[in-house]
Amino acid sequence: MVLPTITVDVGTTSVKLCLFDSSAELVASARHATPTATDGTGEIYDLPTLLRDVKQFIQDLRPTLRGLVQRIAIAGVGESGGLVHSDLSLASPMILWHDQRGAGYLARLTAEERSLIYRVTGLPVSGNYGLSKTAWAVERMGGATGDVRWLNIAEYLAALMSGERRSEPSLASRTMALDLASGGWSAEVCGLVGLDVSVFPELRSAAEGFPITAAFAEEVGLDTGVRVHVAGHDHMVGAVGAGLQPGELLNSTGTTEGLLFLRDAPRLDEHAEHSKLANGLACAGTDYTLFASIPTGGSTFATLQQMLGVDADRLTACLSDLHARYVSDQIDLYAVPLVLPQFRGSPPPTKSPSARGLISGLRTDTRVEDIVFGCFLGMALQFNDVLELFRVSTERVKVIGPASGNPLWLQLKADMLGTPLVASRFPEVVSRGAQALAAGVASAWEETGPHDVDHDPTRHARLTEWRTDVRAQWQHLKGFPS
Amino acid sequence: MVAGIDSSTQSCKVTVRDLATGEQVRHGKASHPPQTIVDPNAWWEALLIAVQRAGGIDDVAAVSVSGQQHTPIFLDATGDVVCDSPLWNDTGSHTHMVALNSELGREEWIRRTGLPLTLSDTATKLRWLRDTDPESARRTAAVAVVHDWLTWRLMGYGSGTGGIDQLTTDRSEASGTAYWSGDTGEYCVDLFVHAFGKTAVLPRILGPLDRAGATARGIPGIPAGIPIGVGGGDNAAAALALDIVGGDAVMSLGTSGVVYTRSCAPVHDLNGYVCSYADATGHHLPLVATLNAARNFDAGAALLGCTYAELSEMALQARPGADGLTLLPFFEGERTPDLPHARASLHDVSLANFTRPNFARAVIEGTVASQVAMLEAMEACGLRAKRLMLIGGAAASSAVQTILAQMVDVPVVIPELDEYVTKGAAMQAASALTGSFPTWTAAVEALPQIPLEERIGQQHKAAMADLGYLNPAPR
Repeated sequence: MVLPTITVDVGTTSVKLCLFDSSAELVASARHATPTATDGTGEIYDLPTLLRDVKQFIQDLRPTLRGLVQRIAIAGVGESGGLVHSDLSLASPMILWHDQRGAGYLARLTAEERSLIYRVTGLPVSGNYGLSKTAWAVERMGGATGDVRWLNIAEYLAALMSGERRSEPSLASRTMALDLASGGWSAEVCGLVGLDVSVFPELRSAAEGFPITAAFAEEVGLDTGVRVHVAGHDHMVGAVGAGLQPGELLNSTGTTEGLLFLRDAPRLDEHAEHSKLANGLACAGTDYTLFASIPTGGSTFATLQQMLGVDADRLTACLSDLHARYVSDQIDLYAVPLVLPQFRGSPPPTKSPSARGLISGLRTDTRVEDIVFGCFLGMALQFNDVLELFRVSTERVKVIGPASGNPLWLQLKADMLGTPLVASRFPEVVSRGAQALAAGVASAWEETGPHDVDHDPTRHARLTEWRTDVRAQWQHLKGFPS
Repeated sequence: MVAGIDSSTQSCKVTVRDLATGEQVRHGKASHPPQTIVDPNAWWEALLIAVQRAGGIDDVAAVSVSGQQHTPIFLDATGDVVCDSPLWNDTGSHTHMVALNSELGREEWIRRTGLPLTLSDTATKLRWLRDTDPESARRTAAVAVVHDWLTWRLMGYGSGTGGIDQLTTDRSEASGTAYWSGDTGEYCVDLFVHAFGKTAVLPRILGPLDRAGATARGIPGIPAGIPIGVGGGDNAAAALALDIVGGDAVMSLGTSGVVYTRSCAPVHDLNGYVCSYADATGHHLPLVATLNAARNFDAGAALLGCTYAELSEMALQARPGADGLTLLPFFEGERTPDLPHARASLHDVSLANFTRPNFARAVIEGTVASQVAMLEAMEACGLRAKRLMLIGGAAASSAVQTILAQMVDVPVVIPELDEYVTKGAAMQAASALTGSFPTWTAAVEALPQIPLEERIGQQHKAAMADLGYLNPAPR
C-alpha cells in the first residue's frame, strides 16, 4: 500500500510537484520551469529558485493535507549534479545533465580504456555522465576533495531535506563510475580520470528513506515523521510507474525521449557497446535497465511553437488536423520535408551532443504544417532507428509523458513500427512511480488510464515503402559531421 | 522620344523615354501566361497591349525590343509558328541537356560556345522538340528567339507572310543559343544540326549599332516607318543601361539571380559555372545565373506568415550567421550549380537557434551567399569585381543590402530605381536614330562599408559540402 507522498520530479525543462494520497490519487500538483543559470562555463541549476519552488508547493498545501504527508520522493534527470560538503554547502556548481564542461577529461581516453569503461559501467563514454563533471569539479578544488561527495540534483534536494548524502542506485549507474557487476563504485574507472572513488557517496535504495530534518519539517510545515526518499532516475522511475515488465518497452517522452527495457543482466556485447546503449540499475529489485535516449523529444513541440510563432493551442489544433489527414491518407509522404530532428544532439549510435538537425526537401509550396508533419515523421523514423539498435522483439510498447497527448506522434510511431502502442493518459507517471518506490510497492499500469493506439497495416506498408525510398538520403543526413 | 520594350518571362514592359535625357516619360505593362510552354502569339499580343497601356508610341521616333534569352520560336517556311515554345525555365528539357552533353562532352560545348550547356539553352530546346514532337521539328524552317521574332513581327512579318530570311538578331541573343561562337562571332551550324538533326534558317546577326529595319504599316498602335533598333537579350540591355565598365559586376536579384560583368574576350569556364554571353556593345558579358533568388524570400515569408518587409526586418534582428542556422535555398532545384532535382534544406538546426529571426536571416543569407558564390566563380575565371552594382526587386531590402555588404570586400552601389532592360532597349532605339548610344546617366548610391562576416560564407560552403553540392558530378 502506498503512503501519502509529496513527489518532486526535476526534469530538463520543468519541475513537477505532486501530492498523492494513500490511494495513489493525485491530490495537488504544480509545475515550474526548471530554473537554470549560466556560470561562464556552462549551464547550472538556479538552486535558490528551485528550493523556493519546492518549499512553496509544500507550504501552499492546505494544513490538513500537509498533515497527512508521510513521504517525500524525489526523482530527477540523471547525469546532473555537483560536489557537496558534509555541511551540505556546495563545493561546485550543480551542473545540468547536458553540460559538457568535463568532456575534455574523456577526450584523452584510449579506445581500450573506453571499452573498459563500457564493460565495467555499461555506459558509452560521454561528457553527459557525472564522472567527467566530477573530475572537472575536483580539479577546480585543487584536487583535494576532503569531505565532498558527488550528488545528483535529486540526491542533493533529498540531502537538504534529510541531512544525508547518499546516492540512489539508478542514478549512481548514470555517473559512469559504478561497477554494474559489483554494484559498488569502480576505483579502476575513477582512476582513469584521476578521481578517488571516495568522492562518490554510499548507496541507498529508493525504498530506504531518511527522516526529514526537524528544521526542514518546521520550515515547510510537515510532520517530523516524514521520510525522504531518492526515487531515482526519471526514466527508470517512470518504468516503475508504468509497471514495466521484461519484454516490454517503455517509451518515455519528456523533453528528451527515452527507450528502456528491463533485463536480468547487463548487456555488454560488442554490438551494444558500438551502439552506445546504456546499461543501468533499475530503481527496484535486482533488474538492470538497457536504455537509449533521444535528445530531441517533446521539446520539438516548444521549438515548433517558437519557430512558427504559434501558441500551444494553435499547434495542438494543427497536430489534430494533421492526424486526421494522415489517418485518412490525405498526406503525400513524398511531398513532406525530410526532417532529421537532432535539434539538441544525436541519439545512439553516434550520441553526439554537437550534432544538429536538418530539414531537407523544402519547396516553394511547402507549408508550415508540412514542416510540423515532417518533424514528427522524422522523430518516428529516428525512434525506429534507435529501437532497432536493441535487437530485441518488443512484446508491448508503453508510452508515457507528453507524447501520449499527441495523436499524430503516437500514430506515426505505431504505424512505423507496425505494432500497437498503449499510452498512459495520466500525465505524471514518473511521480506515481516515485510514490510507489517510497512505499516499496509496485505500481499498476492499469491505473494510469492506458489507451490503445492501433497500427494500420496499409499505412505501415506505405511508411515502410517510403522509408526504403528515403533510406539513402536519411543515412546521408545522419552521417554529416557534427 | 524613343521606346524600349522588354518581353520578359513574366510580362511585357514598355517605357517611353526622352531622347535627350533618357528620363522615363510613361510606361505600360501586360502579363505573360504563367506556363512554361507558351504560344508565342501571346507575347505579341502582350506587346501590343503594353504599348497601348503606355499611352501608345505614336510620338516616338524609334523603338527597340529586348527579351528573355534562349527561348526559341519555331517557324515554318511561310512564317507560321509551328508549335508552342518551351521557355528557358521549362525543366522538361533536362534529359535532352544530359544527352547533348553526353554525346559531345560537356567541355566541348564550353570550348566551342563558351556555354556550359544547360537545360535553358536554345540548342537544348531544339533537341527537346526533335525528340518530343518530330512532326513540328520536321516542319520547322527557321528558329528565332523571342526578341528576334517580335522585331520581325514589328517589321510586318508573321503568319503566312514568308520572309523568314529577314529575321535578325544580335550577338547577345546569338550567344545564348549554344550554337554561336564568341571567338569567331559566327554561328556553329554543325552544333545546330547536331542538336536538331537538320538545318534551318537562323536570324542574321547584326552589329551593336545596326538597325533591324523599320516598323510596318497596319500594326495596331504601332506607327509605321520608324526605325527598329537591333535589340538584344535582357541582361545585355540592362548592362548597356547601367553603363558597366571593366571591373564592374552586376548582381540582379529578381525571381532568379544573375551576376554578370564585362570583358573584352569570351571566357571558357571548364568548371561549368560562367556562361560566356556577348553584350550589346561588341564586347562580352560573362554571366552566372541561379534559378532561385527573390522567390526564396516569398517562400520564407510564406513559412513565417509574414510580409516581405517583415522578413527583412526580422532578419536584421538576428546575428550574422543566424547562430549557425543555414539555408541552402534551392526550393525549385538549381541551375548553378547544376542541381535540377535539389530542394532547399535547412542545416544545423538546434533548439536554441531555430527562431523566427534566425530563420528569416538564414533565408536571406542563403540567397545572398548563393549569389556571392557566383562572384567567386567569375573570379576563378580571372574576372575580379572591383565594384558591385545591386539591382532587381530584392535590392531594396535592407537585410539584403546589409548581408551583401557583410559578404563582399568590394564597394557595393545601388543604381536608382528604373526599368534597366527597357532603358537599354531604348538606348538601342536611340542608336538606331543617331548612330551612337546616348550618354544617359544613372545615379547610384553607395552602401556604407561594414565589417565582413566570414562565417556566413563559411556556413554556406559547409552546408554545400555536407550535401555534396560543391563539386557536382559533370553531366
